[in-house]
Amino acid sequence: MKNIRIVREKQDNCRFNIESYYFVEYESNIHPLPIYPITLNISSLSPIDVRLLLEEVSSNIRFLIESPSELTDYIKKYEENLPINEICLFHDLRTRYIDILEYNDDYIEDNVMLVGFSILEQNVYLAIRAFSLIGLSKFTEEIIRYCKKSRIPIEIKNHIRWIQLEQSMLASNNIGINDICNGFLLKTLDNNYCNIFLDAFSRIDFQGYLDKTFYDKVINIKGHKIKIRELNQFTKYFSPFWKSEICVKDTSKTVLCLHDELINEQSINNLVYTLKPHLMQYYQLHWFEDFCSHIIKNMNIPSFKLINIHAGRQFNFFQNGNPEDTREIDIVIGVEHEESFKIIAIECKKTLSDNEIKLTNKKIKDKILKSHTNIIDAYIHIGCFNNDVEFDKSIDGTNKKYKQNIIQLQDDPKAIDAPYYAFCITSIQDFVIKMKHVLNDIFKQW
Amino acid sequence: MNKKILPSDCKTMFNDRLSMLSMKEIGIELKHFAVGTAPECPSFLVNQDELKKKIIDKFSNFFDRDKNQGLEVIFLKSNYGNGKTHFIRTIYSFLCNFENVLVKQVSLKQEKTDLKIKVLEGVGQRVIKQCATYFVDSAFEEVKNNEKDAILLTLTEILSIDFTLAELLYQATRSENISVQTQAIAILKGNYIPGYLKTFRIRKDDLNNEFYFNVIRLICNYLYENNIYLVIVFDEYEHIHSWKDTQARNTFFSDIKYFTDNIDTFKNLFFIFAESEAADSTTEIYDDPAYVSRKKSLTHQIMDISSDAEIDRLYKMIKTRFEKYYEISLEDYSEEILKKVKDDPQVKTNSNYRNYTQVIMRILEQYRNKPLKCKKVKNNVADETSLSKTKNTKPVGKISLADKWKASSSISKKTMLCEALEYILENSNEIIIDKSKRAGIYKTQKDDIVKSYIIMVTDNPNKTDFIKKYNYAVKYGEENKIDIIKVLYPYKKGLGSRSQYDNVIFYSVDKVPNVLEKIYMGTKTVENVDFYLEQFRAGC
Repeated sequence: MKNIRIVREKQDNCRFNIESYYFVEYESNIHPLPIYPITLNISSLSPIDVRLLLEEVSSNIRFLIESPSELTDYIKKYEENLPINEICLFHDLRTRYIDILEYNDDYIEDNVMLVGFSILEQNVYLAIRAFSLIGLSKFTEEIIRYCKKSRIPIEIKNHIRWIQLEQSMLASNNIGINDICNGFLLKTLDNNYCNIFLDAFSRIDFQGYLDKTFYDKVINIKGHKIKIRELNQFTKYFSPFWKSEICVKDTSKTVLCLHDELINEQSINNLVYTLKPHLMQYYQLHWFEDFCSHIIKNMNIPSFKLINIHAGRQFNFFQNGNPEDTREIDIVIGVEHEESFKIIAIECKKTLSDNEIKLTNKKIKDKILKSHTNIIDAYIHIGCFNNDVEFDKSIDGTNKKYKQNIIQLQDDPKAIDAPYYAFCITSIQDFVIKMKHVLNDIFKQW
Repeated sequence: MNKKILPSDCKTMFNDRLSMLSMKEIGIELKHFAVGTAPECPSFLVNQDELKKKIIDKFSNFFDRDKNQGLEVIFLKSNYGNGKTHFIRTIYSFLCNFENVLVKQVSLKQEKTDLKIKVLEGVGQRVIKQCATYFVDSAFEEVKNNEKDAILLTLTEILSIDFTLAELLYQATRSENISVQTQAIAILKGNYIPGYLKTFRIRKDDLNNEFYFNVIRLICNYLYENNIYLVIVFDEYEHIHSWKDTQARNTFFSDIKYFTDNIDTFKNLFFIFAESEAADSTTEIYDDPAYVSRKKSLTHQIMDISSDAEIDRLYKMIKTRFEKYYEISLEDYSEEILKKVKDDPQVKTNSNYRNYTQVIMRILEQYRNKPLKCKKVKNNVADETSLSKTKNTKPVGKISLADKWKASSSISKKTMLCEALEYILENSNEIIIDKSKRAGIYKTQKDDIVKSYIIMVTDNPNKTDFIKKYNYAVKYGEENKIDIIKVLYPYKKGLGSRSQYDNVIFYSVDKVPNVLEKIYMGTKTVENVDFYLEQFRAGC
């Protein structure tokens, strides 16, 4: 795809230049940065006031044109004759005025931005075209900080840090789940059945099957007492098997046989149940991740707003194309709470263990913290079952426990520490309570 | 904060801001200490009590209409690594919180820096335009005539300026051409290109020193009338000594002299020049001896770390942050850690502030990585949340504080009371000049009055014990020429009345945890320590 970059030497395919900055077209795998809109709720400004306000935002700003101009002047001069599908610099800003500025500091140079703006009755609409994501991020952060201090209300449609995150995201190769798996997933998410499934899964993970005792257990569904074996909404996902003992030399092994292949007479009473093979595969590989992302998407926690979510996506935070630096994040969410926005990565593990947490945190250090992007504010490890994790913190003195600590690269001064939280769930309600507490803690403490 | 500054706000300028920090900010600050760099917004500044007091007084007067004498100029000088940047960033970040204070940081690295232009750079074009609008509108109000000539004439009359400046002010405000407006503002700011001068038919010579001093004077008037203050921090002043252009350096010095000769003209303006000790700072003497003597009276030295008490205070501040961040308590190892810090070759070679912070961090890390020895503080999350809002949060939760007090031996109780007292004193205007936690004695000074606080703890308070210890305290006071002694002794009925022992606080043992909690939750500066300690008194 076509993109535009800024160089300091004149080139043939230069679309526009100002001072010694040349805007040249090139073929790239990277998408051009989207125009970043910001609305300032401020009235009675003239075009010159908008420039002076921007200048006040940071001492690192230098304007490259004498004064703001009508955008149409630039469109006429540089883009009037461009083919319609061609990438443009000015045309799609769709504002009345334009100013061109440079925002450089110790860490970023040649960071030129085209700032389109329109002055409306009650507000000023800015449309920023940048050529460096870090440059755009720093500039918008300064604007937000300035507006906060000057009590200028501000409206932002897309959080710049989420755009930054998406720039590091690789193309998706996720294949959607089939209807059977989806039906199974939705049933496990049904509050009436969730706990039965969780109980069944823990037995399957522990011994590989459900036995007669489990199937004969009487449960209460919507006020009706019923045996699990009579609960078709549950049993339809399971198949019966014969359980047999096979003697091998001095030991014996337990095997499950297909229900129409009885090995011996003794097994006839040993009927057990487990997930059908294709569901077993889905359950082992993807179910818990899908289960968690469904709950998170539908969570309704007052004052916390889920703005963005991606599940099962791969990222390269170094943006170097090196597959070894790729990191898959099970779920990543952008959450807004009390004017603050945070990006949180969630790792879902069916069985959570200390070792699992250590390994995942090591990967976070090597593939995320080391990149110095500092995009992700916190990490959460969620488990369906607990192996050996000691959850040492309690939620409001209740028996609901979780663990919290810090992931850090001590020897790297540019890597900012991030907190991690870990908890296991016992029900959907338990999941939401713990998630709410953890989110609260992240926003309050971090 | 985002409110208008009051003179009394300045007292909190150097307060510990730990309770306001998020964990992320604490983590970043600790990283700065480990690397040896100054945090962007430091959350504390220990030691330098005398200098801190002077600066607080200066700013309190500066922001006080009745006491403001006009322009304030100070030079902050320090050896490399002694916390100069930390110091000015603390002031800078504090002042940034107020909506009517404009704070700018300007580097003097560049050769041939014109001070006037740097001031205007600090002011910014927006304020220049607001200032121009203010005066042009005022002139219009005066003459009630929208004719340009009438306004220009009025401007020259009421502001005592020439027509060139009046024209530029007028064009910056009233021109309908954006380009002309921009050019006028750029000339007023001093960063114009020569072509702009043609627009207004002015010569370069018109834009002389007098012109720019006049612009700054008008801006100061505007700031004063609108209750706005401008503080400019000029960093890296030492670079001036290496300027090759003697003329530029002399102009710089004479500009400072001009400003300081006319402090009343340049109201609401505060200059802080931050300077590291340079190898060659003799240029000032050769270039301008008069300037040197003036500068001397305006210079304040950031002192080196010179005493154990100062090291202890720095250690305590870093340790508190470290403990909160990692949720551990290293109190039991403090003596060991401090000894290691003081014996470390890095500080023995160069005992500056930077080296101390680095060494303290390194040794704290060593102790953190000894998990069996370190006692983890198991705070209830709810307690953590409530404590996180407090100032100088101690690494103990509400429940554990009461439990800790209950379970403590009398020696540990004494330590807890000593720490609380030390905390109170640090937030007061009394300076600790000597202390012994073991003996429970803290010696302080305020103005010329030396005071001793003597903390007594016993599991069996009784009249005989009290009289014996009280007499010892009185004797100690006499022998050590202490002006005032204040004794804390556990309350028991029949020990003596308040009027009998007016320098004794009989404290309620049961009340202590609650009082400690209150103290650590306190957000104000302690104005009167005696009054504050009354909280401990039984029956209060």
